[in-house]
Amino acid sequence: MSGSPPGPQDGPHPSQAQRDIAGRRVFHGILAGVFLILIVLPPSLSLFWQTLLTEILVWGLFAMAFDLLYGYAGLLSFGHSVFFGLGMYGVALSVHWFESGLWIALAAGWLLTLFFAWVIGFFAVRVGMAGFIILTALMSVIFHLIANNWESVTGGDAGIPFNAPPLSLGFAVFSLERPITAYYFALAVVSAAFLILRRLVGSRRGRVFEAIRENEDRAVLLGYNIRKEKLRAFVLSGLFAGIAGSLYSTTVDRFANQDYFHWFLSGDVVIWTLLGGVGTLVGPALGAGVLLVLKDYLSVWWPKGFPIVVGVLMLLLVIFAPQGMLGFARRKIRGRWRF
Amino acid sequence: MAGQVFLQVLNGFVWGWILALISLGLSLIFGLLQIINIAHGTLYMLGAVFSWYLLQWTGSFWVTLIGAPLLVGLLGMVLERTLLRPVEKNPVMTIIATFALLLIFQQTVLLTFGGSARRIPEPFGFQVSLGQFGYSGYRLVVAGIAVVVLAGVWIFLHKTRAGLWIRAVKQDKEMALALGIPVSTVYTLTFGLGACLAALSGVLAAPIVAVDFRMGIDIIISAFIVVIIGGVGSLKGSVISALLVGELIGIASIFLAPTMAQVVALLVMAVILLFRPHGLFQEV
Repeated sequence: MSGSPPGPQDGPHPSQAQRDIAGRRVFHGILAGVFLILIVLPPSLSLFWQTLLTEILVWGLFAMAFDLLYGYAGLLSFGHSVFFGLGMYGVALSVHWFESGLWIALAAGWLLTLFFAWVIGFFAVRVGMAGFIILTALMSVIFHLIANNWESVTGGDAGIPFNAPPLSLGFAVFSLERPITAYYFALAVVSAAFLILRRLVGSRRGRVFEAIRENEDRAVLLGYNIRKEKLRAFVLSGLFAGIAGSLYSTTVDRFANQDYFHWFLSGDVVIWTLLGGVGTLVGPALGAGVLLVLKDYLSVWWPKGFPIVVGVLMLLLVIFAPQGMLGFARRKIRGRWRF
Repeated sequence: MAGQVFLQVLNGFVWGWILALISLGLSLIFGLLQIINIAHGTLYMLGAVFSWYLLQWTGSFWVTLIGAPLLVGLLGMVLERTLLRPVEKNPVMTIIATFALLLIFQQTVLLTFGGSARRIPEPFGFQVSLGQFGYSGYRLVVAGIAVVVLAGVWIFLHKTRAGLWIRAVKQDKEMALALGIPVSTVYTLTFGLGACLAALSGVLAAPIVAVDFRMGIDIIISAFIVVIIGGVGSLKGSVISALLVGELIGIASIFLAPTMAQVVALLVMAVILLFRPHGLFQEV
């Protein structure tokens, strides 16, 4: 049902298979159209919108990374901000302490994330569902504390402000401090990450993740090593979250600080995913976009009320539309097209 | 130094009893309704905030001690009946729903009560002299009240009809339903009791810490640690592990910043989880 579309042979009637193919074409058409707009439109937009779009792209990647873990493998992490923050701090630390170039700094962020994703995952996949949720949530707290208290390295409360190293592509050097360059850089990385993630969830491995989500016992009976597969999903998801974090710190906010570890951020990504549609990959990114734009408008006339609005929205969602925007749309037009 | 260690051990002991109250509520709710109540710390905070308002209004600490938990318990029952009932079958959705409640309540308190912490004076000022230094009598009374209330909860669970129902539903919901136990009422009652205990610990803690809209966040972490170490749904486990965690945090904070002391508790929890995935006293 979710993830990559089933092959034509899956439909009981030829007409259903044809509808599936048509649905997929429509979906791919929409994706291509959105991508085209994202390439062509931004130079004519204001600086505010250029930055906001960059932000949406990066948070969208974060949401998709989270969806890989929750939507596909069925593991609810309440500490995904840890990996976002680690990607960010990896970049900040290597630029601040070693004055490294862009690619080295990004790689440092990704390696740092990979390492901790593996360590945390090693414990987290061993403690059952409730334990998993609580353990990941507590990780958020721990990393927040470390960033806050280990002043000699992380700058403590003050964080680490830094300048983004220039983007050197061989033929030319670009400054990521310019919003439009930052935007295109983010677009390139997020698009690449999206294609990889989409490929992944459609692959055999993605199906194994879904099998674990749907019925763990049966997956065990089929001979899959559950802990290993869960750990794999956890590390991959963490890595992509780290990529988002490293990207955020080079394109949007060149200031690593402990707020990005806070478990409220982990909560945010859960909301985006839920709003957009769990297990749809594009949906969570869409959810992130909708809420960020909403936040920008709401914070003008009721700055302190935004969390209340989000809270009410979440309650309405879990009670009335737990499948999210995309899931809702998918169900509504199921009879006609299938995504 | 010896005096300071003794003081911290005593503080840890008192804090442990407060933790036991809030954790027992959390554990009851999770054990019976399968709700992972992220908003439990918020209910504790609401208890403290209500007690501040009631104190302004009536001037008597003892009125707030009874009134605030009752109000929050009532609120809990309403929440369970209306908002949480539809999501109870799915633990993941309960997390999201209670997280939403946390956002709503915490922000509402910020908007009405304000962002700055407010102090509630200790209701009586007497000092107990212990050797060469004095200790706040109120804190010892807090531990005493907690012991009495926990004993009351034990009696309620084991010696009354409603308590029997709660234990029966926890063991086997279908069978309880078949035997004519009003399972739906039991759910509401249990959530109300849990909320009430959280609020009570909030009222008791308010004169020790300050009343602040964020005060629920720190304690919910400790409470989850307590429940995990103690084992879900075990009263004995909650009390013992709460005292353990209280002492651990108390003693660790002699050497470390209070927040880092919590990390120590977390590490201890992680180690325990590796060897006993269901906690120390899980009633399986």
